[in-house]
Amino acid sequence: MDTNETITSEELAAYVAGELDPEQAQRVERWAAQRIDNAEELRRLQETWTMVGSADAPSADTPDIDRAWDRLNARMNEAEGAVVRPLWSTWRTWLAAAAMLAMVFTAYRTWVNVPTVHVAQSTARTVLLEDGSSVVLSPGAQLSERMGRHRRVEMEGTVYFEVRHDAERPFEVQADDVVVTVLGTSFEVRSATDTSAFAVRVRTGRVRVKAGGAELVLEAGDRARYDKRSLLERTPAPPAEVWGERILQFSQAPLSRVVAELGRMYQVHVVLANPSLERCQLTAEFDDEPIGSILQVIAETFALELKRTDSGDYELNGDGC
Amino acid sequence: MDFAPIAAGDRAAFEALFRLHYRPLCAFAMGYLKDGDKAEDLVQELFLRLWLDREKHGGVVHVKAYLYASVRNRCINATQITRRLVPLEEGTHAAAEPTMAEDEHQERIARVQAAVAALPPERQRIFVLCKYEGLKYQQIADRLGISVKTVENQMGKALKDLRSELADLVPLLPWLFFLGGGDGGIG
Repeated sequence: MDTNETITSEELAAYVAGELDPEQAQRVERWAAQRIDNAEELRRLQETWTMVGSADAPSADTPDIDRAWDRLNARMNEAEGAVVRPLWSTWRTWLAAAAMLAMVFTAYRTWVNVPTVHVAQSTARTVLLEDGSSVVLSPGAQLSERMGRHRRVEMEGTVYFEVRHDAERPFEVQADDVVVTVLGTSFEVRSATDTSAFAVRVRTGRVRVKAGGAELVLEAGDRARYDKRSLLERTPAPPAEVWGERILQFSQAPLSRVVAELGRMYQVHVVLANPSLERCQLTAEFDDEPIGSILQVIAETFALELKRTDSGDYELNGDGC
Repeated sequence: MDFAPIAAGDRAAFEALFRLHYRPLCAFAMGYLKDGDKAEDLVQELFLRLWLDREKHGGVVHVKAYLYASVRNRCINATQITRRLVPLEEGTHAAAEPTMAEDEHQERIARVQAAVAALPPERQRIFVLCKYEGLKYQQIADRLGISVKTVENQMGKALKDLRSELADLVPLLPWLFFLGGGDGGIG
């Protein structure tokens, strides 16, 4: 027998994994038989191999270390009473956001769960998120998405959400210390870190809002507001609402209010020729339709006449309500 | 790793410690809690307390052993198995305490999960395919588009890493006492 066998860690691993052919395996066994230390080493590797098999395979969803650190870091700051800076206020955060964007381009759609950052500057932006949900960022709004086992979004400013339904992966919106959780629905979140004011309103479906230890379930048409001094509270919905700078929703809204909203959104002037028209109440929803066709619908609803004036304004005339 | 810089308030050192141990500790906690989110919450809480009370921990020498012992105790607390809560001494390794077979078994599994999670990502992927999915070296090489030589090499390193990481568990296995006294092991 050769008394000078040398065996590498690769060979030992291959031996315990059953990857060696009989001849190679015999070489390892001869090596183990040479010295008690060798035998002990082989025994330990085999025990390790067996022991590892007694546990479950590691979960494919390993924790996202960057997100975990961000979370811890935020709690460290909070617990120490440090000034928690608004999400995007420092050049450092902008740099980090830029770095994240760069990473997203390189590591795009890999298993690395890097947040994608979206920003709307002077105009509203519609963005399709990775999970198929769509959001409208009002001017000045920022949002970062992380779509993994959970769908998580952090935001600031005013953002309108149309969340794609996925019962397996709840969609969570975090705005400062308020968390909104949904399965699939449309709603708007407004958050301003400078005033700590926060508002959420729901267009369709249901959402759950958690803030300051309180929790509220909101359904379509509901809205709630929260600021650090008051509790989370439900507030009544106004008769006219705009969603995502695009969808106009009226619920028994007086026509005077309707034309004011239309004027603001489409930058047009709509004149009600007869004051009694102001009392007409409209219930309707318009999704990004041209102003001409919206006014045509209104005219038909109340049997009015729609005219364009020489100055380019619109005029509604009729008997009224 | 020495805890002294962290006790003195070095945030970067704390972040490095966190990044080094977070995933394995979560895998370790998973062994007890069987719930990824709960495991993460527990480890987060531990690191938060560690940072806030950092001055009190200046004397911790074996930081890693301390972290594992803390997670273990928190998990046992969380799962209401509070029969014998091992009081935590700085730098001691809770695994050395005599424990009941059931707890020992649970801890062993948790330790194994943590050790696998602590492997570098590439090595871990290869190891998991081999050990848990039962693929042969050649199949792993094909699947990952790497050479068989690389698989051999990484498997050699993985097993070596695991052997040293789990060294203290090998003689602690109760059934090893029978085998150990006999012909000197399976080999």
